[in-house]
Amino acid sequence: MNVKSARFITLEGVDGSGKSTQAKLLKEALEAQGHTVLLTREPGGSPGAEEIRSLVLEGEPDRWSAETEILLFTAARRDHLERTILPALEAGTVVICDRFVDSTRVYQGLTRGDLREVVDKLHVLMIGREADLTLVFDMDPVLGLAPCEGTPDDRRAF
Amino acid sequence: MGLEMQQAMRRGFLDLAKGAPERFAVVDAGRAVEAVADDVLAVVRAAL
Repeated sequence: MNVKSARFITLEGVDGSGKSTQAKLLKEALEAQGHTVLLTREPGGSPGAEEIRSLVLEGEPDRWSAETEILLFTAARRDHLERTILPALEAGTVVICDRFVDSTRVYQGLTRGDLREVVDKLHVLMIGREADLTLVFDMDPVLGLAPCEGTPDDRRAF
Repeated sequence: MGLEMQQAMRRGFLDLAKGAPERFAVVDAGRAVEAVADDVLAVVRAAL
């Protein structure tokens, strides 16, 4: 990690790695130092993106093909970027985002390896922005699995 | 999502981090909340 003036910070890692708790603590700590901070998350993070999130996460697991699912997630991310992330960054706000494109890259790379390139191409074409800094919360999943088991989003969270 | 999948996800994130060290910082999240928070804040403050 060798970044200066990082304003767009994404948090990644397996379920139960504590990143959502850490996101809140980081927001509080930065605010205590005088920064304006926006905490957001994916999938979702804007009203339109939340609606798309519901489309993907509700209903039958085979409701969408893997290709359509990637398009929906990219559409949601585009809306989140336009409506939430970029306006905040332009206002000088530090943006902390709980999951971003790296979750999609990893998840799709594992479930449909042949679609990983599609994820990257769509990202370049429609999002065109990486985080300034990405924190990976690394831990043995055995330690983190229990609290999250059975939550509705486990099925296809990204 | 099963344990095997979570382990593969973990490797996937570490591989991404290895491939773009200028953007990534890996934090050992298997520790007390306060210790992790201290590391996170140190990394972010250095980058802000």
